[in-house]
Amino acid sequence: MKDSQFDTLIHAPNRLQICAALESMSEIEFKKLRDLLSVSDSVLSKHIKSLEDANYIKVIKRIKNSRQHTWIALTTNGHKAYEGHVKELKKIVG
Amino acid sequence: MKVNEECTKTEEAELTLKTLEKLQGKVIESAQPPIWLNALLTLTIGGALWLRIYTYPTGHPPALLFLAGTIIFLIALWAHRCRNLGLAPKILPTNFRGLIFQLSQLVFFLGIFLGARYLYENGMLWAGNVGIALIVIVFSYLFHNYPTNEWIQKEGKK
Repeated sequence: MKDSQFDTLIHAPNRLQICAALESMSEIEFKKLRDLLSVSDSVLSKHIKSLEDANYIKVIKRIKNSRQHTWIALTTNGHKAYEGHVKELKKIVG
Repeated sequence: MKVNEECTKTEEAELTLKTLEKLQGKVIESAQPPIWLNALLTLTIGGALWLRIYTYPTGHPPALLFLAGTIIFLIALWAHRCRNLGLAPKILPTNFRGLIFQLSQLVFFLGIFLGARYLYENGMLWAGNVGIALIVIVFSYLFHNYPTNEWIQKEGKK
């Protein structure tokens, strides 16, 4: 993989923002991510599914107080793809 | 026509980068410790350093152990608070920039601490207090603004 390259999968604004948010944390809970991005549950689920299928993020389900909480984390592939994409954007800006 | 397309591309890329920075600022802001927690942690670290410098080489193991335990407890409390907010901060850096940021902090704090202790042992009694104050102020600032130890651009924060 090149050091900087456009990734068509994460180029979509919401997907890029999901990666950006996850880049600064180890894991983020689904609800928190939804609030940060100001999107609906269904929109976020759709993007998460696409990113998970590409092995860019991993979804972790945990039980707390008898309720299921979904946590999302960026994988190594996700980190690389995001960093490469941002580097490419920076190259364009100059 | 081609020049216009290039301009649009540059503007779009710039706007995207600003949006990402702003979002990361928002995420980091959510993980910021409350002022009381930052103050308590900073004072405890200051106390531990004060003991380490002013009671060297004998030290005061029970007091130091108590302060170290308090520091661990306060950090765990902050991590627990973040978890409740839906955020799990990173412990180790995942990129080169983060690694450099953490290493420079380590070198800075260690340098000030060792320098202050050296000067204190050589008769400059004020050096210990100045060194501790410097460490405490810088630590408090970093913990408030960069709680995840991740270096981010601050322009897009607000």
